[in-house]
Amino acid sequence: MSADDTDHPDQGPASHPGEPRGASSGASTAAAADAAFEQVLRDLLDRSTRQVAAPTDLAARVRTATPARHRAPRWCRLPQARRLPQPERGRKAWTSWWRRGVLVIAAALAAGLLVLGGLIVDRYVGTGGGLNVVTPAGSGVSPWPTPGTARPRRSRPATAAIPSPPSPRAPSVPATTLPATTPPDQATADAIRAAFAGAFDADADPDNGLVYVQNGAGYHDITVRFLQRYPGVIGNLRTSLTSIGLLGPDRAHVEVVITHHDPALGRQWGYTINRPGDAVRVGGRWLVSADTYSFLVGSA
Amino acid sequence: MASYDTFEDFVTASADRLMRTAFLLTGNRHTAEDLLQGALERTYQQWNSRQILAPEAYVRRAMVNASTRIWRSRRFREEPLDASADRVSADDGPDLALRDQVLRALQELPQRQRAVVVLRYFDDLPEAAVADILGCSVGSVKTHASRALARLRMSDHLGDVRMRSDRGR
Repeated sequence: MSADDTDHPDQGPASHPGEPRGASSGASTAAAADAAFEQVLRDLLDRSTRQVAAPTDLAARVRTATPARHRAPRWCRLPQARRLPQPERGRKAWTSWWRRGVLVIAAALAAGLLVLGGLIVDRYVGTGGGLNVVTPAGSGVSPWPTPGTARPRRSRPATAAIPSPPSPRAPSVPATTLPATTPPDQATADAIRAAFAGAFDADADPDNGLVYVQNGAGYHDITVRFLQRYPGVIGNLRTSLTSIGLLGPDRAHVEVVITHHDPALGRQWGYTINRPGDAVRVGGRWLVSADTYSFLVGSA
Repeated sequence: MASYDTFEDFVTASADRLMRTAFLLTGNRHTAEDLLQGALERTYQQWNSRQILAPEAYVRRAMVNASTRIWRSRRFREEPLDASADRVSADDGPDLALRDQVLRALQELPQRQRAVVVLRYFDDLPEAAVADILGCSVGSVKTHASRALARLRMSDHLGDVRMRSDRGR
């Protein structure tokens, strides 16, 4: 109904003195018309939706789609099965699947790059890699080669094992071939054990242990820095030799197991370090070889 | 106000009525189902953790807000062809025609006015309750209702309805 329909002149009495007769009756007529239209509208809305009913499994759908308080983020929610067949939801579902596919591919690429990067770092940089190796002042030889250069060979038999680079992930990779050795007598074995125990006693005074190291005086600074870097090893570094074999009258090959409780060293090397090493006899005393000591202390 | 022991009780008692509200808000059965389910999911999330004093009002408010978002986010408006897609029984003919008229007339209204019409004249909520659901003042609800009624009275889709109301005057 238009406004014109309701504004027709009415012949009824005015509601208030002085009020035009037509205006009052027109307003009341319009109000009545509005009320009638509202009633018709209510009836219409009710009748037009009488056949509309909620799905019978609505509660189950809601519960399935929404575990209370544990709902997954929107981006990783799986599309609900009921929404897929609906034509108007098809594009949205496809977009959703497409987005998740892109996310999965991106995650796979990122993981692949991470693994590849790790391999490259391991291959070309390495854990020691010449970057954090402290060269002993007197040795003149770095325990690890710089990339692209050959590692200098030590004077040992051709079958001598080449120690693998230390790595926290693989701290104890044994040599591929063991050197040809002969078992030592008990006194020699005890002397070698004493040399390693003394060299790695890790007390507060570094010079105490260096008397058991070949050219030990040259490793003072390295040892001090080692103790400063890993103060947790002081007093609780332990060594044990799992095998001892003589390479010659003045040289022996050993397998060392070092245990400690320093968290920083543990993160880098692990709390149990298995390494091959050498002992040398100098002036009738068995000492930890300079290579072994510089490798174990200098590269840590 | 009815109190419900469990969420299932609430859904069982209210789903049909709320579905009709969602249907009038959206004009499309599938969208209405999505709208209702989304609102119920929100309600269910809060059901155990927070006491919802008026769950139906909560769902209605969620539906109105969500329908406004849907309306805004649609780049292309859909033409309501829902009547032909619905299953028609032998005695459904007049009702479907009427539904089509009503939905087309409602589609002509702005979203806010449509929400007011549905809440005020279908759900029979008082103006204060409608204002609470819509988050506006009672005066605003009255304004929206008045303008919506004026538009509906002028709607071509409700021509015979207008005649009926004129006859009843």
